Amino acid sequence: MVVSVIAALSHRFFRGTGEDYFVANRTIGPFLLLMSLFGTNMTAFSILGASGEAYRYGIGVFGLMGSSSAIVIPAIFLLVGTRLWRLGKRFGYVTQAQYFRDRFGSDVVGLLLFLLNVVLVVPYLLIGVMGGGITFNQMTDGAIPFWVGSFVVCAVVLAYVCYGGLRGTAWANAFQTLVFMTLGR
Amino acid sequence: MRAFGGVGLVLLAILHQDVWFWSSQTRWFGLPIGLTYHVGLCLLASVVFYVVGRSLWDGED
Repeated sequence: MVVSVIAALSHRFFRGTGEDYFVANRTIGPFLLLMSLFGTNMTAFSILGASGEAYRYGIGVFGLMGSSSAIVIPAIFLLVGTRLWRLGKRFGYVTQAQYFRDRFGSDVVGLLLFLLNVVLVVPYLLIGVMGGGITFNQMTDGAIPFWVGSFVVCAVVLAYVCYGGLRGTAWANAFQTLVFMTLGR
Repeated sequence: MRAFGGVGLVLLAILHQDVWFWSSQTRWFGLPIGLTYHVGLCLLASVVFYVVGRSLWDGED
């Protein structure tokens, strides 16, 4: 419910342009970026997957995942992100496909990259949806069926992504981060 | 500074391979050494990327 309210609030800032919807008019600052990144990485993959892996191989798994993120994410930002940000700002790119289409002067490359992105993202999304369904099911001792929990996760995410765009998504992720930091101690 | 960034990145990537502590029972600061090691590695990564980022990023256009 809180996430839905956040989506509705973020929609009030929506300026009706593609750039605002996809990249929040490039106005995401350092604090919101950090909080949003943290929330984005704390998916079912991290929370449920890492716990299972740590149960099997030891508590070092948590450290390994943490330091992986601490190294890889800033490195990508430094080596790729800042350059792409500058090019995106100059040429108005709001998606990866737009950049690669222009870079190689080929619509086919842009289309292939779009398809590749979808293929790579779908398994990750499914893990999140399944993780949500399993969590609801386990927390309620089976009172909420797996499919209902998964459906609720899909509906909430669909609502704040469609309604709030990147701004709504970033705010929702930041809220998640605050919840994790407060309740995860 | 670019050289420092490159060396720092390679060093962090090497240090991330923590096979030497993976099955150790030793504890540091009350935590298994394998976990404490990665806490230290995260702090080191923060310092490296802070220094490199501040030095190489020239701000907005």
